[in-house]
Amino acid sequence: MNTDDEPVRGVDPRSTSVDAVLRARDRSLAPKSRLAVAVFIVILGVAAVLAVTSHEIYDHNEDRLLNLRVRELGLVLTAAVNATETPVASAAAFANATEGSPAKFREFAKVYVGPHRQFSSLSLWSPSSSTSSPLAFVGSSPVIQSEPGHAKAMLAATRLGRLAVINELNSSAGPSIGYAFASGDYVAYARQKLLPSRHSRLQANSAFADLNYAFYLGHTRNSANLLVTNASTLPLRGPTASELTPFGSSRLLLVITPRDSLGGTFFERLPWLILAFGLGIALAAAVLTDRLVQRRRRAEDLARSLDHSVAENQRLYAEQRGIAQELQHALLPEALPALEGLEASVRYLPGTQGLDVGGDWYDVVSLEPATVVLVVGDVSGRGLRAATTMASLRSTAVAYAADGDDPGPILEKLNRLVRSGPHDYFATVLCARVEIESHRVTVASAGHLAPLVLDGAGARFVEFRAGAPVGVAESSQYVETTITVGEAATVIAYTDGLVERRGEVLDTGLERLRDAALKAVADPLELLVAHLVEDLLQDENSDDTAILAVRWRD
Amino acid sequence: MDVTGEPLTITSQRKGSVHRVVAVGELDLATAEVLQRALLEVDDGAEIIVLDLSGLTFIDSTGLRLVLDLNERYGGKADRLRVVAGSPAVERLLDIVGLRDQLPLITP
Repeated sequence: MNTDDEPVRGVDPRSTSVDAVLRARDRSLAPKSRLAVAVFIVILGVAAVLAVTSHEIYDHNEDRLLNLRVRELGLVLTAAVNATETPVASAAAFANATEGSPAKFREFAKVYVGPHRQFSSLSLWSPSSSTSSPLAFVGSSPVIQSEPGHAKAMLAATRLGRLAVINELNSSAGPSIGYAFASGDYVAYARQKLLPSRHSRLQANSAFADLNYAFYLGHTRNSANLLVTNASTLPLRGPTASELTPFGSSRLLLVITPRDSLGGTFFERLPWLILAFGLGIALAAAVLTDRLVQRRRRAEDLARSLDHSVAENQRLYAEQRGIAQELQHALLPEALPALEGLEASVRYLPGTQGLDVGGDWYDVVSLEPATVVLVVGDVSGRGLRAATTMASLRSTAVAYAADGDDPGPILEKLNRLVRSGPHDYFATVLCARVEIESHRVTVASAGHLAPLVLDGAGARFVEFRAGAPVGVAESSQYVETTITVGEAATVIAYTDGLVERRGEVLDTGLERLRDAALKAVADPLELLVAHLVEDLLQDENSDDTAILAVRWRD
Repeated sequence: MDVTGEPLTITSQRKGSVHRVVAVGELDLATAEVLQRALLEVDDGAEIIVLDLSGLTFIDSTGLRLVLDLNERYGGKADRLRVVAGSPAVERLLDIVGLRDQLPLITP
């Protein structure tokens, strides 16, 4: 019986399901946010810069350390040089002191010569003698004597007080270095043999353990001048540092290159560590940024679709309200049937509480002869539902009234009608049969407020005992009360919206109605009703109000 | 749209087999929801449900409707509802609306 006002549970193509939007977005290949890529690049860039800087610092440090080492080693070499110079110088001084005695020289020189000793031969020469043979020698034959030119050069190279270093690296007898020292008239000449391979056999824990080195005689890195090296290939690869140490009349060139990192492998690896770490952080940051951006996008999407939903709801609501109001308007026509001997005035004022229209109504049924049935009702609840159930109540009431039923029975039948349905609403109804000629009014009320009667005797509410609102009790008795009104009487029926105010007892509102009616009693009916509305209704009325007033035309 | 007014306070307590719902304040369109929610929590296992309206200073048709809904569910043949009217506002309304005989009223 009651119209169902539940929304259709079908698919509305216009509706934007929030879930659907989000799912669609997730499914699509969402482009990685540019921000995430930028974050990745920036962090990686920073890491790269740090790595490069670290590398530069490391290189710089390695160079520095290498240079320090070479300088240290240079000092060591100086000591070694002295160790070479001293025996030769001593030999020369000894010879000078012993006037070149060959036997004594040989005795002296024995110590320094031998397979495991410093020199391979030590010989005594006299520059003034024209022979190109030594005066004495110990050890293997100084080949130089078989190269006369060389001997002369050697003797010429000696200068008093200074060790002459002679490059014999390309000698046919194998590479060696010659040392000559002059003292007085004598020259001591020592030869030191070098390994043909020039490869060193220095121990692991020596000063050169972590280096690849090469010693050259002279100041050029010429392989012809190579004295000794521990490297397998020359020239030495990698960063090198060199130190030139004075070596008698020549120089000793030391070139070193590190085998491992001088500053430690950690610092060597550090740039890579930084890069790897930076890459890791960059990735993590990019992923995090991306996630945050996605989350933000989702939130924005959600907000947008919520906004959309809200806007949609507001639109639908306004639409529904519009429809409800139109329906209400259609259901309660303002034009009343023309009545003989009675004038009528009606008002319907919908409540303003932002919800839909309510269920107040009024009806005037004109019967023969000279009888009018007035019905005023108020369906509980609001909205389109209330309006439509009100419509069915109305038609039922009007039907029974037109059929000649009295107010009491009409209400009983209305009650039965409502009880036969889902019992989910009730309505207060006032039904009055007005006999125009006899000025008699028979009233029955289903929980509805009593109408106000204005006549010569003043203003009074009809006294009756109301039955329950229709729809409340299984069966209800509706007692009829008949009153007789005076000449030109006015009967005002209304709904509770006219007299009910928050924070007040009902009686206060009823009195207010009575006073307002009395004040305007002399006014034409329309004006009277207008005054009532003005005096009684506040600007903001939550409830609907319906007013139905009839007055005898006399 | 000014819907100010006294709020509605509902206290609900269960003692033995009696569930008591006490309403204090104004019961109208704006506050009906509060009572409605409280009524939803009414224990269906309780033998007697007492709706105490003596603290109401105002009640309109929306409030009345809630009371009648409760009566529909627990009153009548089930006879598990008791209503305490008490306050002038409620008494008056019940008189006007002719519901005195319909509701299982008890004295406070």
